[in-house]
Amino acid sequence: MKIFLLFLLTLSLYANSKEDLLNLYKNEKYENACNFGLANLKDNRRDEEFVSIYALSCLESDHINRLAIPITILKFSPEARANSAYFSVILMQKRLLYHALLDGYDLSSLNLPTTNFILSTVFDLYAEQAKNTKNDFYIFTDKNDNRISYKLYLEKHNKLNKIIIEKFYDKKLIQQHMYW
Amino acid sequence: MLNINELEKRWFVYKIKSYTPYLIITILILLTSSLLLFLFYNDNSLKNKVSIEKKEVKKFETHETYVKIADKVPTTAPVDIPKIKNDIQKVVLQPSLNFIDNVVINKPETSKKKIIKEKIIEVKPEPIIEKIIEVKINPEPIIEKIPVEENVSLQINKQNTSNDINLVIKRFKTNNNPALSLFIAKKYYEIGNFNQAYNYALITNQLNKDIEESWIIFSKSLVKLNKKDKAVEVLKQYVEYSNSSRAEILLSNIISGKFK
Repeated sequence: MKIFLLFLLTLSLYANSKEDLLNLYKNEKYENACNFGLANLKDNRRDEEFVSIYALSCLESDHINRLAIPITILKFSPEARANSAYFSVILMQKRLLYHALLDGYDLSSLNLPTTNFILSTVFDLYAEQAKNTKNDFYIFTDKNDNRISYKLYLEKHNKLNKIIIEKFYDKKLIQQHMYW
Repeated sequence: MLNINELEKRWFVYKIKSYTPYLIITILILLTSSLLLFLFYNDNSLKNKVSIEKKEVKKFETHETYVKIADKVPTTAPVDIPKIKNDIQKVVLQPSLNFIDNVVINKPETSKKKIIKEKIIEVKPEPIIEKIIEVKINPEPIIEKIPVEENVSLQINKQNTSNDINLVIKRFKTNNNPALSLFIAKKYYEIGNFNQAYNYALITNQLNKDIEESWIIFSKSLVKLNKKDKAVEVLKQYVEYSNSSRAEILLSNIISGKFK
């Protein structure tokens, strides 16, 4: 009986953390959702829905390095595998872009899958347009919308180079992302 | 006397002779099986060779474009491979978000009480809704009738956010400051009470037409209340009036279905 009660209690706790995470995600509080997911990941590792929401929140709040664990965990359902592949591509593109910007690695010969995420868009534009050139910053125009443009550059924060991507709509800054 | 040595030799020869047919049969079987195996292997390798040759021919056919280019261009000149590479369409991966709508949460009993508490809090600012009905021009007011469960003990514990909202509502009633009504609208939107968010954003818009944030909350609430068309209509009018890029982005997101 005690074991059963304990099981019910743990089940309810898990359900609560998942519900809280989902609410944070739906209310677009991605930073909070990502931190909350990280804090509760240990207890919810086997719940692929929890892990997926956590990873999506981290993606939206620019914590791409945190995707590494979800990528390895998500494998049992078709949806989880799709998300895992999606996160893998973004993480890989981030690492490759970082390598290219810092060390001049040539990305033009690569033909990788892509996503609709801003980092992938900028990665594709950089790989196509910025080959064999090393500038302080790069400005790309969106292929689908001329009014949208992106600025890509490196900035040093605490002795660490960080990738900055800025998105402009009619030359007005609407988004800024920082990756390292 | 018997010659035992001679007898033993004869016996040994006899014994060997008796085994010979078995020995011959096993040798024959081994030979035939090895022969068969050898033949079978040879046949397979021949087939493989043929299929590889076929594949090579196919590959050659698919790379016809490369060959043609190579024929035209002198051998020393670099072949323009990247051009051909660009023609290959990239695979676009997308996250699978279907599970979010189907997430099953085993709610514990306490969560039921929590919902009832929230509902009781939501009912309080009803008089303001009635005011809105009189003032509003275009969109229809949304009045929700929530059954209030008579459980006095549940009213003791209120959420901090709702407490904050109630305090701000009191302040707003005294001074009618649009900044306060915008704050209330935002808070209601954050906690998922889109009806009240809509109402307070509407009040803010009536008090001051130039607050971009208020129009955005107003439109977002309309979308959440399944009134996408009205949200689009309102945003279009606001974009025409203010040229707001944020409103324009939200409008495109609503139309494309990115914002639901």
